[in-house]
Amino acid sequence: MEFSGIGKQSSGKIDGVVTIKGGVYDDLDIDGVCTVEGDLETQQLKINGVCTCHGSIAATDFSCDGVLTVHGNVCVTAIDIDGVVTINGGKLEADKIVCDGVLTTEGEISADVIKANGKISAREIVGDDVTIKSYWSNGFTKLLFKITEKTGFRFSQIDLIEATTVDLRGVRAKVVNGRNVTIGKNCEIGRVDCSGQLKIDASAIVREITGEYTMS
Amino acid sequence: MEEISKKELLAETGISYGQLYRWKREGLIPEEWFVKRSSFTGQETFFPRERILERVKAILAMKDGWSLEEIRRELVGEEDSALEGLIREAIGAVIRDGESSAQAIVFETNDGKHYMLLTKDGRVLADGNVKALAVLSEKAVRERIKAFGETNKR
Repeated sequence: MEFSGIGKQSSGKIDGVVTIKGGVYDDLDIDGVCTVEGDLETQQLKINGVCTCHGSIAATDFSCDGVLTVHGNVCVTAIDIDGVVTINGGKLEADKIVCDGVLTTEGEISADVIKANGKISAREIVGDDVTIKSYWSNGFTKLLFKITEKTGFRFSQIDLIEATTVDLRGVRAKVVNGRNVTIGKNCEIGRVDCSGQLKIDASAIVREITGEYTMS
Repeated sequence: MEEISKKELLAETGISYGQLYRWKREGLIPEEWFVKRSSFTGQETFFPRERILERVKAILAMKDGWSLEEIRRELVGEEDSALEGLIREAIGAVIRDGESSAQAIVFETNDGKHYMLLTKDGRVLADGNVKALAVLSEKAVRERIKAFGETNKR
């Protein structure tokens, strides 16, 4: 099954193994295995299957329960990740990012609000309200992650986190800059610069603290 | 040109990281103004001092009465025209290559700027949001519009 990328399609549902050129849609539902050759622009985008996009994605509401690899930028109003999203060579920009799955990029993630209970690997995360709480520690996952402990699988790894409010757990970062910063359990941070309230858990490792802050 | 660091900018203007990055995403502060340099503290970001202070002052003065989109059109108008020009040029190239006649319309609505590529008899070949195009690279814009033209030839 093939769509051509002319003009505006209203809604599309993609099943099976499909290659599409890209294009503009109102709603697009991708199950199955899909390759998008160019750019994709939609209002609602749902990916439940496996999708590779060789262009950029622009969407209003985007949810990914499946596996997505994008070789371009992703620019959305809201994105909800329960699956695995990898962005190669582009950036992710959004008003709101919710990630309970895995998000990996070598580039920048910029959003007003980021709420992650999953795992994020990125060069930079910037925005207004950033909460990343990786390092699950309930019964079953504790056993699972004991096996993967040496690989650092359960930690989020980010070079720079910079936001007005930062709340972290289970995060390894080189630099964290913020107005109000909470470094929670099992974090390992190179340098924190804080200009407001700073909270550091006893189990966290923070090598350097700068800025005019109040410890709480 | 005199520069100001990101940290000094926030301290001097009172804006937050959230505001700075939201304005960057909305195109109110050009990406080219964010200049990364190595300093003794590590990597730091610097801006052209006069331009950034002037821009932030203008945004702060306008933000209570205007939407970010309106502020962008007012402050960054010339860059919009550049994008419009790019669309027209790319469409022009499609028309020349395809030997078909079509016209490009760029119009504004409350949601922003939209473009439409129409044939002589009013058939829509392509339409979309200019902001979405701005997110896609220049190269992607050209390729995309060229692809519409090629499909039209068939």
